[in-house]
Amino acid sequence: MINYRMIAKLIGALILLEAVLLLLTTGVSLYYHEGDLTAFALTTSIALGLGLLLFFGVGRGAPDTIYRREAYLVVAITWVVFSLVGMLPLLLSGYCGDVSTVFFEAMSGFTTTGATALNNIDTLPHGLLFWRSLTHWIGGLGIVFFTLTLIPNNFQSGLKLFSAEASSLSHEKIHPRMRTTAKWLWSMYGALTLMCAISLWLAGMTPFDSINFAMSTLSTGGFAPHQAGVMVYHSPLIEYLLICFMFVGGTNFIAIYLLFKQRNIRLLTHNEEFRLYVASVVSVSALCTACLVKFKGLDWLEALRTALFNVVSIQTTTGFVSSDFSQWYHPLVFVLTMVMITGACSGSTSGGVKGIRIVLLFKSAVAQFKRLLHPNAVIPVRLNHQPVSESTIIILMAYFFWYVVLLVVGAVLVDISGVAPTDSLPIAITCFSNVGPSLGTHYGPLADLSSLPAMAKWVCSFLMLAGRLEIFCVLLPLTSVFWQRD
Amino acid sequence: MKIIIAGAGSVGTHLAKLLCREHHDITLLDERADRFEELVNNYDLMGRAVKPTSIEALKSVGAKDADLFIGVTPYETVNLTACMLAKKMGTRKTVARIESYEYISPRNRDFFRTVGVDSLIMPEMIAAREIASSVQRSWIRQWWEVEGSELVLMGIKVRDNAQILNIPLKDLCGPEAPYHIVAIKRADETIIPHGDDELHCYDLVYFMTTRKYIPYIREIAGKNDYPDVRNVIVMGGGETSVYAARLMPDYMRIKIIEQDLDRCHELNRLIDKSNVLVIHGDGRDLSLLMDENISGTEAFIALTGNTEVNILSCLAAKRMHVRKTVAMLGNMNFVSMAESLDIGTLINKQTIAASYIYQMMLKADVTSVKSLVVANADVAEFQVKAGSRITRKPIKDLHLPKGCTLGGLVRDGEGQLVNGNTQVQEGDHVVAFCLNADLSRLSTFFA
Repeated sequence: MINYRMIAKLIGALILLEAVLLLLTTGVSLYYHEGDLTAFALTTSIALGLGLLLFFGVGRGAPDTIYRREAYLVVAITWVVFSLVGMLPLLLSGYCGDVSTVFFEAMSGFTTTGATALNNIDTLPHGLLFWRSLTHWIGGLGIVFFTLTLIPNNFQSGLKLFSAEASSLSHEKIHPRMRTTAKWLWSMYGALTLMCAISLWLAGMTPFDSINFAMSTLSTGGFAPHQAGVMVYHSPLIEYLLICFMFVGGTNFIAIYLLFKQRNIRLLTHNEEFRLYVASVVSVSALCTACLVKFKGLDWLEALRTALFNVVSIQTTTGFVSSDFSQWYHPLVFVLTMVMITGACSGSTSGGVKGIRIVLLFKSAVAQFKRLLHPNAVIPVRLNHQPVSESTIIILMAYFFWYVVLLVVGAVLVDISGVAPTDSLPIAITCFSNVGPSLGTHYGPLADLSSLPAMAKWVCSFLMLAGRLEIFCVLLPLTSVFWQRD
Repeated sequence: MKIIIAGAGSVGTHLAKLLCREHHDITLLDERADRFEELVNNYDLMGRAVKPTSIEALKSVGAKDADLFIGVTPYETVNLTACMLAKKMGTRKTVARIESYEYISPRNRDFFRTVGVDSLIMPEMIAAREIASSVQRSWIRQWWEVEGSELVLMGIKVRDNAQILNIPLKDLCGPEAPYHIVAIKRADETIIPHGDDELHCYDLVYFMTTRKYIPYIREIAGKNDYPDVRNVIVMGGGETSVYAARLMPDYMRIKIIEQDLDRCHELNRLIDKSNVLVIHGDGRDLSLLMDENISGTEAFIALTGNTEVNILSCLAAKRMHVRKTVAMLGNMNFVSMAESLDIGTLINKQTIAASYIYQMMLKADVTSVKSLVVANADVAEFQVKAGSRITRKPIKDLHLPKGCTLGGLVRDGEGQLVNGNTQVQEGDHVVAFCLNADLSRLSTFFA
């Protein structure tokens, strides 16, 4: 049966790493000398104590090999525990309200959703702001994936953990050794973040803001160190820079790596998922531009920038907002909701269903017509010219089924907690897709979710986690099959 | 010439028989003696039951001073290895039969030469090429083009609606006619025609002509009512089918019927064309064929490994009014029978492979040889060298070997037909039609 010692040991190790990150943030807090220093010092020691206890106490003498069950459980628990520890600075500093709010905020951070339940961001100390952005950055590529690069031993288990966390359809490797792959991806992620920070700083942001924005842009998160987000700057240059980096954040990182390594642009231009991503961004932006010009009387250039910024932002599930896009032209709300659900590319930091699944779902649905006419034909569903196996299609259908079920159940629960029906579904969608801004009537793109009832915050936290871990990893420990002895 | 053939399968034995007629020293290698036993008893050649990749064995059969080593076992790796070993030991030229499409690409030719394999042949690919071209010109049985189709040789079955029947050839086509009839296949007999011969109904006539007169030939042969092929059913999903489907143009809708479900999935992986539909089922199942609308299909191609099945399904397709049928024959004994049953185009991988290799051995610079399965004849294309015998006199004074006729030539990129008064010049490409494999005697005229 499940080996709890080993789970404790692994989670202990992961929490120790979170303690290191908290220590870093304590440094930031120390530098600014604000009211959050004790909270960070306290949380760091709690994380350190808990980590040591689990790793050396409970987990002592645990075996090194890990099985599939444990891997799924470790990943699911890790994300919850990380958020529980991650909410402590917000809770202990006393700036942010009750447990449901800070847990929502921490989960929104790690899952790179970027929906905020805070309405006093401008008055928060720098340490807390930095911590919010850092949770995005760590969660962007995945908490477990992050630690894989750092944990030195037992890589057999690492691989199982990785595949439990990244349940996306294609498992590409760019190096025979998982660890080297992880290192390459993290270096690239780091380099891109650095580039983003420097260019934002050159464009006129303060160094602190530019680092925060860079971390939440590349991770396609959406937290900003200001309540009004990017709108405080009124700078077209900053918006264009963010458009570029958000777009990169929504691209498959392995594809970017191969592009740099092999210098063959066809790797991207012939990738059907990437083509859908580009086509969707271009066509929806064009549509929005036209609507903005026609119904809002903006001039072309401004309309284009506004449309592009917000469309890229929700397509990549970042969630920066530069204009209230629920008010542009009402039918656009449906288009933008579809964009939210789709998300960007697999293997990127974005959320949502992801282009690869949309492409495959569409193609299997179309192939069905041909199958009706030719019952004996073996009709393949192709992705990038290669037939996709039938088992993959079955996984896809299962995903889609659970997606709809969770979304409906989530929306109903949010509704029961006391939110209007015109808001509960948009909020469920935005949380499930890890976007951030919602398209509801009371909770529009510019609103924060601080007034959401506590129950709705818990439901949304669960949806964010399920969306980020692509459903199965979260649902599996809740099934009876998982706990059966076999 | 001293020739070693590794692999006594169908290609190897066919080739051995072909070469025997020309009195070469032939050694046939195969691990199993029973494969070549009968051949050794009936033909003047030696068989050795050894492993083709054994160094000792290759030494003992004299790979050191052999002129040609031919690897035609069913296994690509064995063929390549044996060729490399033989070449290193001193064999002058090596040929290997391969299966990987990647290897045959021209950019890998030099690579294979450096490792000791001079030529590669891929019978499936050559067969597929013939199938694809025969389907595109469905009214033609056999098609052979020279120098980018400047000059064309085509075999056409004439029926009672042709305009050219029962007229002596001297009246039908004089020296200035835009075509030249180089051979006639009547029942089981191949004729090199003379002025007094006439064409009869159901003759298979080989026309040599230039590109611009192809529509004219179609008209006089009474083939204008033939529909263009847009729907094709291919039975059997072997390698040949894969290459043929890849080579057929995009406007054709192709259905491949394959029995094995796993192979169906494999076919989808191998062929990435939206106009190809892979169907799981038995190609002999009439209701399946009806379901897939065989009566609306213009071409039926049977490429299973079983010759009898191929012939019978082509007959069935004919009965359902499919105009063009193509059958692959694994067994040469069925050729005349298949021909008498009026199955359109017959494809035989063994003869294709054998004639391909045979061409390499001719001393003159033959650029290509095609073996006509039906007519028991070879077509060869020669490049004329300076000072060769053929350039000395007009053709009528040359006394070419009996059973050979020159069809046409390409001079400075322009195709023209040949008659008795034509003087061949240096640099011409000449197309010759040869009966009973007298090719090596003809090639002395070009040396």
